[in-house]
Amino acid sequence: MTKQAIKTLKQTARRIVTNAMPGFVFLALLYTLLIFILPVSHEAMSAYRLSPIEYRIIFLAVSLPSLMVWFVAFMGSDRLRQYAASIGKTSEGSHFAALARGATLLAWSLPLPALIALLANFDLGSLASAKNPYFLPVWLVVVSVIIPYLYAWFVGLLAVIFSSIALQYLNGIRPSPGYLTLDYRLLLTLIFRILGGAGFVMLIIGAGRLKKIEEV
Amino acid sequence: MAASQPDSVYDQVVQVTHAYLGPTADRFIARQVEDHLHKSPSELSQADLLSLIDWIKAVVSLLTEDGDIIEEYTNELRKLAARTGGKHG
Repeated sequence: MTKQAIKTLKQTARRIVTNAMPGFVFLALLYTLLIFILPVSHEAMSAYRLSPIEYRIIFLAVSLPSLMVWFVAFMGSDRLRQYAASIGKTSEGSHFAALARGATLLAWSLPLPALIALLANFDLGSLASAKNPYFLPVWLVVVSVIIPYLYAWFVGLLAVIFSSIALQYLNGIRPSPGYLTLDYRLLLTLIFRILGGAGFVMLIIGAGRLKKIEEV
Repeated sequence: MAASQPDSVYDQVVQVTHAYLGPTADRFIARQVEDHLHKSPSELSQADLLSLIDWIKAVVSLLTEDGDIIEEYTNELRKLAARTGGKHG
């Protein structure tokens, strides 16, 4: 019974990681749940003069663009994976499969730091710490992706990588505190997230066009 | 993808197509020959070229709206048809 349960759990986890939409739904729901169940930051509440429910609603509202970018990122990696699967038996199939795996890693690298920051804020003592929350290293984001020969993909990929590096730099110089901050950092974060989202949109378009060539 | 002799009509069509569709050229042309001409790629002859070019033009129009690229591509294929007409008679 226990072995069967563990096997089912592993299969479910594998499905969530490898299939884009279940992964996105899981992460988005988890993030939303954490916003509403974790303790709010009293400092941020008093700074902006918000009640706990107002704080949570505004936090969710400013997170919505990020959630939309996560959705686009997971869609992009999924389209890429579908195209790679359609040409799996060809000479370039393995390379596109590697590209799809890299794009999946990129997609997962977007929500994970946000979730970690939320959970890190749960321990109020960490606010006084000089240590940064753990983020995925830039080399993992950059090295995993093979630059494609289509210009749209290349530009899209550059946008995604640039935005990831920019966001990690932003979080490096001033770590994400895991609570609501309505300052220049939020604006910059949104700009770079949208840029990354635009990159994934170009990946979706590129993958769609390549897939169409294989179908007509 | 398809077993072909060097300099065969099929190989030459794929070579021209490669400049426009990249590594997918082989699969693309093979699919057009099989689906529209109902023969295997190795059986493609010079007599089939003009018909194939018409099909390719129609299909490529579904992939891109750039009329100049489509015209350039089909002109290259027509030049190939004119050249192979002299070689394969």
